[in-house]
Amino acid sequence: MMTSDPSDPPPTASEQVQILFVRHQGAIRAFVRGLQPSLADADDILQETFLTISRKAETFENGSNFVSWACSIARLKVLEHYRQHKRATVLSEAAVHALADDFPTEKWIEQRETALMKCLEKIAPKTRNLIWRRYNQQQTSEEMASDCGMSAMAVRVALTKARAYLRDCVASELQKIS
Amino acid sequence: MKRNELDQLIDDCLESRLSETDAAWLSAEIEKSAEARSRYWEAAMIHGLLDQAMQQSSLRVISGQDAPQGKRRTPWLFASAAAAVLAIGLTWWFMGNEPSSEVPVATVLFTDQCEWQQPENVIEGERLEPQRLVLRKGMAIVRFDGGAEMVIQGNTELELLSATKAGLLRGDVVVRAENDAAGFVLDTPSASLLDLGTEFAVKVDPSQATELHVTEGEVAYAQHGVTTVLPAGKSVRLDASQQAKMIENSAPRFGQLIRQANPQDQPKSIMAYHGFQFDEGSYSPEKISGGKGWAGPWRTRHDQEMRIVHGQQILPWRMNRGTVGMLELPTGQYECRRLMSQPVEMKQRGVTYFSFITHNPSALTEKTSPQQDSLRFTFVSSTDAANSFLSFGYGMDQMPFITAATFGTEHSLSPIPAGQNLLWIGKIIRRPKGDDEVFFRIYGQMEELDFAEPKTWHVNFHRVKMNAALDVLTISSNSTNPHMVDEIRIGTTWRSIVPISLFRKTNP
Repeated sequence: MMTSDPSDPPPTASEQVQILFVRHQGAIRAFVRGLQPSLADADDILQETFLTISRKAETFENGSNFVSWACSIARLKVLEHYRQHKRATVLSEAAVHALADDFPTEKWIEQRETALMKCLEKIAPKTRNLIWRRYNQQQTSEEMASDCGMSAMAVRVALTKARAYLRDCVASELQKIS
Repeated sequence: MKRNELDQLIDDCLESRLSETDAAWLSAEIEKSAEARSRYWEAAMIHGLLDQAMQQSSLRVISGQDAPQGKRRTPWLFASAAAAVLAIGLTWWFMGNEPSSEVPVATVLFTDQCEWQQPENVIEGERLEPQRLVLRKGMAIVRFDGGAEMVIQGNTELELLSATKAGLLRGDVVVRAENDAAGFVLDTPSASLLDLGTEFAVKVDPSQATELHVTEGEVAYAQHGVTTVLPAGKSVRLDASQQAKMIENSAPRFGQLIRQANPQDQPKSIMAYHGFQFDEGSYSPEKISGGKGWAGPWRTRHDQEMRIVHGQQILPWRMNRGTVGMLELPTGQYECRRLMSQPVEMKQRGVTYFSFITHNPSALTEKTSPQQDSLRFTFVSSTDAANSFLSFGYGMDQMPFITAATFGTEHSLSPIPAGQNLLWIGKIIRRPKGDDEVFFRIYGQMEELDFAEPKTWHVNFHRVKMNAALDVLTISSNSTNPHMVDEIRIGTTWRSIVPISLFRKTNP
């Protein structure tokens, strides 16, 4: 193969943070989902965060903690979103800041991800089906109730129980490892 | 606040159903209590991780299916590159295992005139654990569980590291990592390459220099601690001292290599076949013999007759043989079975595939569900039927399942395509050491088949462990409508049970 022109210009700062975003998206997304329970809103905030870090890429110091930097921007986006929608049924700004300050590490998240996959296997197919409808299809309790021949209340209770079970199961799996 | 009250408030918050008062209570608790914040993140992470796992499960389970469209939006970012992190989670969801050196990370899709140095032999359909592959001659295609597909050309030395990462020590590979497979990492002696949703070729020569040719999308490579994004149509050579030089883009395309290899049907790898090519009518079971790979005629429970029907074939999948005659499974409970000449030896390393077609005439016309409808295809041991069987089927809920004796049942999350002729395909991976794996997918008539097995199976059953010889095939049904069954194929490769020459895409 023939060599030709000198190499392309080096990557821009924006391209570099975008690559870092791809690599660490799991943790950043977990952060946003934790503070913004609405899936659709969380997706919007994640996208806005991506655009903002691209614009502010020059302010990121190479070698510093990228997740921490990206989450500080995501935190502001969450609060911005809260203010725009002015809901009284969400957490206070002080609570959001307190939670953001205590956000777990990437390793903490990865450990739970692994454990959760194990725990999901232990769930009955019917409950797994409800989880899929809730998180993939984003069905409401009423829609799930209609599709699955249950009452909406029974659906809500089943999902709450399933999540509680998964939380305990994950804790138990992590204890086994430690 | 008691812990269960706190948990309930957190769950309500994460489900967006807090009242104004509860929101104030929970906010106050979170502001003052570290334990409340810890409890919150534990619960929030369950939500977040379920969201990720289920988002990915839709890609795997629903792709190509007639499942109803959900409300889930796919952010453009995920659609292009960022799903890599999620893909790993998905793999674990289906694998049901923690990543470790014993857990398979890739599947061999295709081999062509391969001469392996390490391991000694690699067979199509086999699952590969993290290990070093040395291919002296020929060509092989491997699909990583993260979704990236790789053509490996001899003489190549490759280290499989994980479902989303490999190391190329020498030789040539072409990688295709589209959409949800983006994020695949290929390390070479002189560079680390990160795929950003693309197709690219990499060559490592004896001097350990790396040539990277991007044919589609973008690839990022790290050099001197700086990451560079190389777009489509560009190529770069990185030598051992990590000097970069732009070079001519002349790499082969992934599809081009497959076309050159020209995958063919493998009729010789069929272990058993039956196409029910008989005149129309009712027969005593012992009269329904013939086919290939059987050790006797069919048998039925209570010596019920077997009925062959004609004119029912509305097959979207054209088959080489068997255009006349289908077995009709009558209404009510019915079972027929046949002894195979060559059992599925679960204690021996290998891969077994099967396929057959079912046709339910009433399902094509009736809008209401039948009162009873179940169909099952079972490999069972003639000497230990209760403890040694693998069963593939669906029941009244129309959800495909696999049942493994003593190991339980795994269900699909999505139902069979409604009102269609169905092509059933199953795969059994047998390992003398380590767990067996079993896969099952039911194709609707609008779905395409390719030269290699699909990325997506409807049911994945891992951690099965059997040692028996499954030597009997049983077909059983219990339905208020009759079913037709035809073209039973059992073989050792995908290409032996799916006639790919008839289905091959024009541009693989």
